[in-house]
Amino acid sequence: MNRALQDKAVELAWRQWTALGVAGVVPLPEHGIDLEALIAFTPFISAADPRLERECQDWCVRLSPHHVSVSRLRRVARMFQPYADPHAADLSSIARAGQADRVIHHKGLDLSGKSRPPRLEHPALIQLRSRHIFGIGARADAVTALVMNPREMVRLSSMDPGYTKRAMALVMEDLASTGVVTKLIINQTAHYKLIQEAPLRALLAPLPTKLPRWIERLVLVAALLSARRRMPNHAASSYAVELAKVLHQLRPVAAVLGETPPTTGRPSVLLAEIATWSQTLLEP
Amino acid sequence: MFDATALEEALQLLGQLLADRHQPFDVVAIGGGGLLLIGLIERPTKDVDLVALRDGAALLPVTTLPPILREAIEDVARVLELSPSWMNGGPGSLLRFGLPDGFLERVETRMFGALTVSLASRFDQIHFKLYAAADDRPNGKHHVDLQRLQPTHEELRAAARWARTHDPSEGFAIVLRGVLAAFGLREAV
Repeated sequence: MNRALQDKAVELAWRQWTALGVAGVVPLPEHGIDLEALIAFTPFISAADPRLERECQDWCVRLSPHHVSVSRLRRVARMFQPYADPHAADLSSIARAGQADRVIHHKGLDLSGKSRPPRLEHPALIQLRSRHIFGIGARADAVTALVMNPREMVRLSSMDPGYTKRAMALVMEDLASTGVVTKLIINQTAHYKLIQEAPLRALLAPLPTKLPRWIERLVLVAALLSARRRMPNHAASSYAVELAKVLHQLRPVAAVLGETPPTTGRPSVLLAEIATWSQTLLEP
Repeated sequence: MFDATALEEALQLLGQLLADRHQPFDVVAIGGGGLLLIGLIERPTKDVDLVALRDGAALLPVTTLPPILREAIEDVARVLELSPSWMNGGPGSLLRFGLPDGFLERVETRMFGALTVSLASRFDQIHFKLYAAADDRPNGKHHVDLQRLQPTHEELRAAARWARTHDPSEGFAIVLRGVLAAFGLREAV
C-alpha cells in the first residue's frame, strides 16, 4: 500500500514543485498549490527521491523568501511535526531561516542552483499571485480561498488552519467593512460570503481548476507514510490496526475535508480500503 | 458477540499486534470465552474474562489491565467493531481468595502470537460456573453452561467447597444448596 501512496505523492510533489520553479520535466498541475503545505510535506517523501529533496532545498534557500509566509509555515509545519522523520532534511526550517542562517544553508548544502523564479501567471500559482497583489499573509490567502469557493458561506473555524482565528477574523472584518464579503450571524457564529466575485476573479485570473485543502490532505498522507516508516516489519494484520488507529485519531482532520476514513473491517479488507482511500487524497 | 471463529480471529489479531509491538503477555482466561475456546460450549459469548496474568508459576492480579495490553485490546476492538472491553479483567477478584488447588497444572495453553492464553480446565470451569450460578437467575447462562459441562457429584462437591472459601456466608450457602439440588445433589455445604 505504502509504495503506491508514496509513488503518487512523489509524482504530485514533482508537479507542484516544477510549477514553483524547481528544475523538473513533468506536466504542471491544473489545480492550485499550497506552498507551505508542500514545503512541510516534502520531507515525508524525500527519502524516496533524493533529487527532489536536493532541488527543493535549492528552491527554499534561494527563492522562498519572496513567496513563503513564515508564520503560516511555522503553524503548518507544526501540524506535520508528530509524524516527522528526524533523518529527513527539514525544508520548513530552511524556508523559515533568516538571512544569516540562509547564508549558512547556502554554504552547507550542495545546492543545484537550477531553480528559477516561478511563472506567476500559471493557474496553479494563484496563491503566490494573490500574495504578490495583496502581500504575503492572511489577507491574500483568504481572498484566494473566497475566489475559489465563491458560493460558500464560510466560518472562521473552517478557514485556513495556517493562520490564527484572530488573524482571519481581522481580515474578514476588513473585507466585510469594505463590502467585499457579506457577514451573517448564524447560530451565534459569523459566516462570510463573497459578494465582489467578478472583480476579484478577474484580478486573480487565470484560476486553477480547484484549490484543494492541501494541508489536511497532506497531513493525512504524511501520517500514513510515517506509520509504515515506524513499523517496517509489522505483519499486514497488525499494520492495518496501526493505520486504523492513526486514522481514527485524525478523524477531525478528515472531517474538514468531508471525509470519513476507513477504520474498521477485517484487516486484509481494511488495508485495501485505506490504500484506495488514501490515494484519493492526492487526487484533486 | 463472538462465535469460536470470531474469537480466534480477534485473539490472533491481538497476539500479532502485541508481537509487532514487542509486548508479550501471558493471560489466564475463564468464563464463556474460555469454554468456547476449548470447545466445551458453542453458544456465542460477548467477551473473554481474565482472572489473572501469568508469570511462570506466579499469578498476578488483573483487575486493572496493564495499560499496554488494554491499549492493544482497544485497538483490536476498534477495527473489528467489538466492545472495548471484549477482553477484560472482570473476574480478577477471584484471585484474591485463591483459585482451585492445582489450577495451573490443569490449564490448556494456547498461543496467539505474543499472547499466551492459559484456559481454565473443564474441572476448574465447573468451580467458577457453580460459583457464578449461585449468583445467577435460575436457568441463567451460568446454569446452562454448568449443565453443559455435565459435572459429576464429586466435581460439584469439590466446586462447592471451593466456592464456600470465597463466600462463607449462610445466605450464599442457602443459594448454593439450591443450585446443587438442581443437579440432584442434596447435601449440606
